[in-house]
Amino acid sequence: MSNLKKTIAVAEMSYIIRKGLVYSLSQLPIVEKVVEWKDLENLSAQSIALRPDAIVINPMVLGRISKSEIRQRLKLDKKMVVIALVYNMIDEQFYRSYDAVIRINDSEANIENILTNALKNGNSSGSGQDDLSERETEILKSLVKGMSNKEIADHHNISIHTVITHRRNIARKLEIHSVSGLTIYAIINKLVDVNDVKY
Amino acid sequence: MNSITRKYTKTTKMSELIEADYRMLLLLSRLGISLGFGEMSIQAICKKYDIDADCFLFMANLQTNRSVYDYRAEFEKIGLDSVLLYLQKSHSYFIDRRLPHFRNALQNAISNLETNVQKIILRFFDDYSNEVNEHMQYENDTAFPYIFSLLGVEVGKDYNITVFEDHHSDIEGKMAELSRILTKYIQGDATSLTMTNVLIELHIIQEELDSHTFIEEELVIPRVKKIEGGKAKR
Repeated sequence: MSNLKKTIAVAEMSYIIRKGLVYSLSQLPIVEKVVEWKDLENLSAQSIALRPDAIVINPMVLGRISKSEIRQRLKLDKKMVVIALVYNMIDEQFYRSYDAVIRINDSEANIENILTNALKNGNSSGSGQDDLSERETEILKSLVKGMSNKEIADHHNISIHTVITHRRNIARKLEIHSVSGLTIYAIINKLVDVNDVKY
Repeated sequence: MNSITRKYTKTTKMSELIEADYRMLLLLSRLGISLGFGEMSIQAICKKYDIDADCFLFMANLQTNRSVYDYRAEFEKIGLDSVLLYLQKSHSYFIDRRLPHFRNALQNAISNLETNVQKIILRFFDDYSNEVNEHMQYENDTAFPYIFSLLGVEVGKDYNITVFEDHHSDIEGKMAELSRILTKYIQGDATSLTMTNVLIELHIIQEELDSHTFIEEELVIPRVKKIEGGKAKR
């Protein structure tokens, strides 16, 4: 089940607390991967590309800002769940806008509950490891043949909006975002002939 | 990853540095320092190659001791000009040596695939190389001369570091895609190390480029902005 495999990011400056949290989270069955973000400036392209399903962050890192600002600052996509990690006496207003709160004295079972609920509500997409659907494969073929979104839409009798959704899902599933990369995929998997591709 | 943290000083032997972290071999390669340094210290080698030893130590510590090294504070203490020289040397390392070397290895590793597949993979890599090349050339020709002039006397009227920042697009993503494609969709020969080595090299290059970009974006650009601000006030 894809919703069993979650990637969680931990953004916390304290080494001891960060390591402890990373360990605790990695022990939970719903967690597949934990990424550490030591400070926000250090977010390498790679950790962003990992697209965590949730981020657990000390609110003091960001100060008192709204949820949308958090997403903006961290360049998160909309589906990502933002959980506050609270371990000192701070005013509730600092973490009011977060999706959930994990406290330093929460038990293992508690943490698991909080995380599970937050991820459920956050309708997160899960880190896809599924194969392409038939429809997606067809759209991929058109794409690497050099067709525009409009042309693909007309060809398959769907809206441009749907084409864009399919493209997004293809990129997410394969973790290949460039058309040139998708072209290699299509040729290796014999979806198209090399003479048909635009790239 | 590393269980031992060791801080380097100017009197550390170059050979000890390599023993402590083999990735330092890459730093030497970027700086054009050849092996065979016997018992020479970091300081002595740097002098021989006319490299700023403080800058060398900064790069070494940044790369091996990042989690315990206060690199932001330390960066303020080293000369920006020597950092730029390091970055320029790194550019020629990537463009003239690193990427061409990798291309040969890649070509060799995929030589048993269908010609069409080989061609398209190499084309993907070549396009990527060209992008890197163009980007680094731009820095060499435009951005760096500007910063050098800033360190001298005048502020260039028609250029500021924000232009450079905008120009600094993400070039690492494509390497990650290539790595995924090679790992996920190419049936390799389990007994051959050729593809394994290529993939490891690919990951190393990615790390090197990440670190290169980090130095430019997180350390150099903010410092240049500060200098620009200081000049504007006067």
